[in-house]
Amino acid sequence: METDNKTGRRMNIWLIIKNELEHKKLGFITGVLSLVIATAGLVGALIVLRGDEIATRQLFIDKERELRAEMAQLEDDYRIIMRNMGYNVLILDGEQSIPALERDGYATAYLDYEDVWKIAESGITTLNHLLPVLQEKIFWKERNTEILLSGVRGQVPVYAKPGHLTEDHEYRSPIMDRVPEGKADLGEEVAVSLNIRPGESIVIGGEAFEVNRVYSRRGTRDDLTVWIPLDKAQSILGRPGKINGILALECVCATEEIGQVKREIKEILPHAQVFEFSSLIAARADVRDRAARLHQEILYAEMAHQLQLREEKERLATVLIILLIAGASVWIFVLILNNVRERKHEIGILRAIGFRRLQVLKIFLGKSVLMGLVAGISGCLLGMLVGVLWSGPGLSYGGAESLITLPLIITGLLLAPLLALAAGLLPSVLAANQDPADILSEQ
Amino acid sequence: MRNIKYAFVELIVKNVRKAYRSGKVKEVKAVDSVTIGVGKGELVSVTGQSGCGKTTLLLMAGGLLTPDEGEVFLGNLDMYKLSPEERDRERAVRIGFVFQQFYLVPYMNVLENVLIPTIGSNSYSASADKRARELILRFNLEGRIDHKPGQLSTGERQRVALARALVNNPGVLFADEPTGNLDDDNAEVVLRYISDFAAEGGAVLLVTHDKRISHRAHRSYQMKEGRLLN
Ligand SMILES: Nc1ncnc2c1ncn2[C@@H]1O[C@H](COP(=O)(O)OP(=O)(O)O)[C@@H](O)[C@H]1O
Ligand SMILES: [Mg+2]
Repeated sequence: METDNKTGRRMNIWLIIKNELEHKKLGFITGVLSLVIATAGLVGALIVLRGDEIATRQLFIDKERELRAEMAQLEDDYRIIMRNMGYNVLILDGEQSIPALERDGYATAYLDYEDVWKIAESGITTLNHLLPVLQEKIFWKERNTEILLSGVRGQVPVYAKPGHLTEDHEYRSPIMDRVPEGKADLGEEVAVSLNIRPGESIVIGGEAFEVNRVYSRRGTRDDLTVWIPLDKAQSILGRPGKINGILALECVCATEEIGQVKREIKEILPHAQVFEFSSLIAARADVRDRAARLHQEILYAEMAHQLQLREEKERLATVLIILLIAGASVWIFVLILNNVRERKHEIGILRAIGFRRLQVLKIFLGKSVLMGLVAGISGCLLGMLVGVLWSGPGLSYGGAESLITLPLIITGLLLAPLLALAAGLLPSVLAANQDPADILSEQ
Repeated sequence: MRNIKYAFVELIVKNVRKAYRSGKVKEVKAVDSVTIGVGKGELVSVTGQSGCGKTTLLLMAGGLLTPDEGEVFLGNLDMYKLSPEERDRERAVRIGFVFQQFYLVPYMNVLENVLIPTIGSNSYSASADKRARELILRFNLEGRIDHKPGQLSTGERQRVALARALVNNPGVLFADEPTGNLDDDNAEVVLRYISDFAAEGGAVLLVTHDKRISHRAHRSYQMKEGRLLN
């Protein structure tokens, strides 16, 4: 088709469509508007829902991380509680009478300090923490009172469990802090009854110590205990190279059997005996499991709640979008049908002067599709804007790029033209099938 | 009535019949066994009272309404043996129409209205544009070329409609009450242009109840109740 050189005019169907649109702007504008609202509604809702999903997912990730941290904290707490209640296993010399131990509160038969290293280096994996201790009740001459003097050196590394250890064979999270060289830790009752504060100097058996810490009340023998480095205790108590117990914390795994632990220790130290607190092992594992379950239940309940909220939002959005799409379709249908009615005589004359059905169809379908295209682009942009502004939380996690995906853009761009095409099809076909003879014979 | 003999017959309407059925009750015999021929350079008029079947005859002759019986030849072409699409195409290039109501496209200006048939026939070209401008000039519309139909007088509108009918250089012009909405002066102008078309070799079939027409026609028929008299 040639173009008019003077005016640049092209005589074709688009000229008819264009001129008619300019002539009847209001219909075009309302048609476009209805489609823009439908498109923007769809695009906006999809973005908001997606932002919501991202936010919810991130919320779960955060919650789970929080839960894990809480579990770790809980585990620490339990370990400390366990220690305060008594250790899982106490390794004693074979000569030690258990009733005497229960009566005195400390053992009177002794192991070599070397024994604890034998266990540590044996490759045993059922024990995590080994705490050699030399503990006796003494009369503290300098302060004129009875105390439990406890020599400790912190944990002896269990080499077969390198996961717990740093490169220097120190514990990453020690179950009990070492008492530093030249210092002493005091139980609450000792400190309070003698009015001793951290930083003060005390003398025990002629040895001077600086008070490092005072523990808070536990309601056990610990309140009457003074902890000092093991070597100092050995010299004060006159038992060089000796200890009278190894406190061993069993593995955190609830499935491990105490019998197994006993057998293994017996093999390493035939002269030793193992005194157990089996009920505590079970209780500890049980409490731990229960706490984990509780937390998980809370998390799942939260998830279920969030999912339900999401479902409700999705349902609402679906209803809304269906209404908008139905509304826009009906409006386009009415608009084009009315347009066909108004332009009946135009259709009649065009057909009379040789326009084919297909050309008439193009005039009306072209108009609806043009409305759809204009609405598709502007509705898509509007929907993105509204959606992104609306979904603040989702946006803060992933940025606008994560909300606006290619399929979303394609859906948004195609919705209005397809909708307009579908809604305009029937009236356009009606227009194309009008009999020009009927129209032109009307007087 | 002038009598001229013509060697070439452009349009032959042969024994056409058309009855309208409105419901099952009544049948209106709008056109009953009409035969009519229009030669090149000839202006043939059919006059008769309103409702006698003129428009029906014209639509059948113009390839827009399939007769119940009979045939229509445009040159050698048996119009109703063609498929509807082929008939559309033939109408686009071989036939022009003028109606009482003008039927201009309201949102297009005069030049565009005149050129509209080139869209239907896919024949827009520089020469079509030139021809449109010539017709506009000839019909005294040059000052109105950018105006919309709403801005024109009825006489001007009918001249635009006539220019539109002639832009594709048709062989036959069909005119249905072309002066129905015009005063005497404007009617005369339009009729003169229609006669000019015939004088240049076009065939014209003009149907009207307007008695003013007769002196322009080479041949005139009277129509009554669907039949041609004389
Ligand atoms: N589409 C139609 N349906 C039914 N009857 C029609 C139709 N068109 C015309 N008629 C009837 O056919 C007859 C002839 O009409 P028409 O050809 O329009 O006459 P004219 O053009 O001479 O006034 C009239 O009685 C008219 O009522
Ligand atoms: Mg009529």
